Amino acid sequence: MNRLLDRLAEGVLVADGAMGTMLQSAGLGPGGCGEAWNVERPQVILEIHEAYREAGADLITTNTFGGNPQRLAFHGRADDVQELSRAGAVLARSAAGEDGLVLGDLGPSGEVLAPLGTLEADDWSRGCRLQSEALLSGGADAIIVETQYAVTEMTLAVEAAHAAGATVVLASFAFGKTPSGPRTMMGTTPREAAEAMVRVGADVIGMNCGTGLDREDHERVLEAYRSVTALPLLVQPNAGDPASMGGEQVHPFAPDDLAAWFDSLVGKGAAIVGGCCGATPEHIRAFAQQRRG
Amino acid sequence: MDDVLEELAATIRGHGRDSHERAEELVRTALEDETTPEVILESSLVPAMADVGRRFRDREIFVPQVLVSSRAMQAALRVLEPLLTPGAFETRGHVVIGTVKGDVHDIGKNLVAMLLRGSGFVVTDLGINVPMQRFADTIEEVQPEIVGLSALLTTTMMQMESYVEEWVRLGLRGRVKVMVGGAPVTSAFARKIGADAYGRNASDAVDAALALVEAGRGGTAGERTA
Repeated sequence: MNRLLDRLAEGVLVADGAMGTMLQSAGLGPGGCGEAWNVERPQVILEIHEAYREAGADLITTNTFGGNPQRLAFHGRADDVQELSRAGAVLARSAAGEDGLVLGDLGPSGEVLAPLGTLEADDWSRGCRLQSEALLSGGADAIIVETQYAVTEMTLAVEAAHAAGATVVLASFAFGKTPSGPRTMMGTTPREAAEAMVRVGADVIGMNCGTGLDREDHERVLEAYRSVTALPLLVQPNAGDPASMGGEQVHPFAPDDLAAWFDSLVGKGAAIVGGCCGATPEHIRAFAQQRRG
Repeated sequence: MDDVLEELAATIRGHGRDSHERAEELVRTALEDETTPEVILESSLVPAMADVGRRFRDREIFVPQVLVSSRAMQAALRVLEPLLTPGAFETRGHVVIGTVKGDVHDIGKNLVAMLLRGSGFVVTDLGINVPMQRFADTIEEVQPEIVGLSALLTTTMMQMESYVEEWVRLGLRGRVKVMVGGAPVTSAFARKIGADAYGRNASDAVDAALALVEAGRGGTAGERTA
């Protein structure tokens, strides 16, 4: 049995908030390699993790979202997959402490799989496996594959994480608003996504980030997931729609507002709730306090 | 429209696994029937691709379907392009497009490039992580009507402003229209940095590009088609 599943059996878990927007506040320049800070500025990463932990997050997510070979290649660091992911897991582990849990993070490739795109399935699988192994060796309790838009890419990543030895894999999709309900960029419905994740044996199914989604959309996704599976569900919304976060137009949710919404998502069946883009330790603190009454 | 052109348009609009092969065959059949390359392009391919763009904008179809249609369109164009009589088919204009420096995302930018080509634009795609100077050099070199800047990240998006300012300083700004797009970009941001147009999505970007070249031609449109 995995610690994460044990804890889920006891009740709702609070996940952390954004990493990327926190790194930008800490001075990561445009297009900078955030994962490199796991080795170059580890203290900054550690402090962000600790701020979330101190705010009440049960789950600390590693700073490895862009740590796959495809993304790192743009920074000339495709060979550093293992080093950066392992270092990221060690930092999260250190901040999580004994009672906290570490989610080793795999982001999307940012590409499209062949034959429509140029990403070869084998290359993607190999990178996911390498990254997962490094995350687990650094102390991750589980692997989360998040912000995915493509079912095939997600399926390969979940398989790779399991093959690397992960006992729990969380699979979280990013949806956008369409006239026919929330769908991923590739047109996948929440129901189709959940069905594929049940087939591949994901242990938790989730939704995070997304564009233009309102509260009702989030509930619709949870309902669609629930109609397919009894697996634990995860939700990590943005603190406001990133479409409105261009330039000075940032209107993120205030911590208390986001916390109230998060609480309602628990009422809709979410077992793990945290934040995505724009969500800070203050948002997580408000939610964690609310959970603890 | 004859049956072959009809079927060609349907092939481009459809999402068949082998639509690119079928499109190529149909173009060859149309040519054997002595349909001119210009007619094939203007009465079959361009309207079909415009329809794909509309349905993508309205989120009736998604990225995979657009990629399939674009692949079929490209296959058809490969046969046609060498045969087009210079001057007989007027391109809508030339667009230089790229993702700004520090930003390595290109799925959205590629869709815009595909739909622009599908609408009759000539597109020079500079790819991802494109520095300001590279755009400036390309503007000098190919003299485009429009430059399109893309960014997926809020951080990299902020550079669009300095790109535009730099082109003003270099005296290039007056020669081109500037379009911006990408997930975090808004029309307010586009206005603030002095861009001429903003595409909320790939199809919107094509409409905006068409409107820009139309406006640019103004009273001279009659001469050009004469």
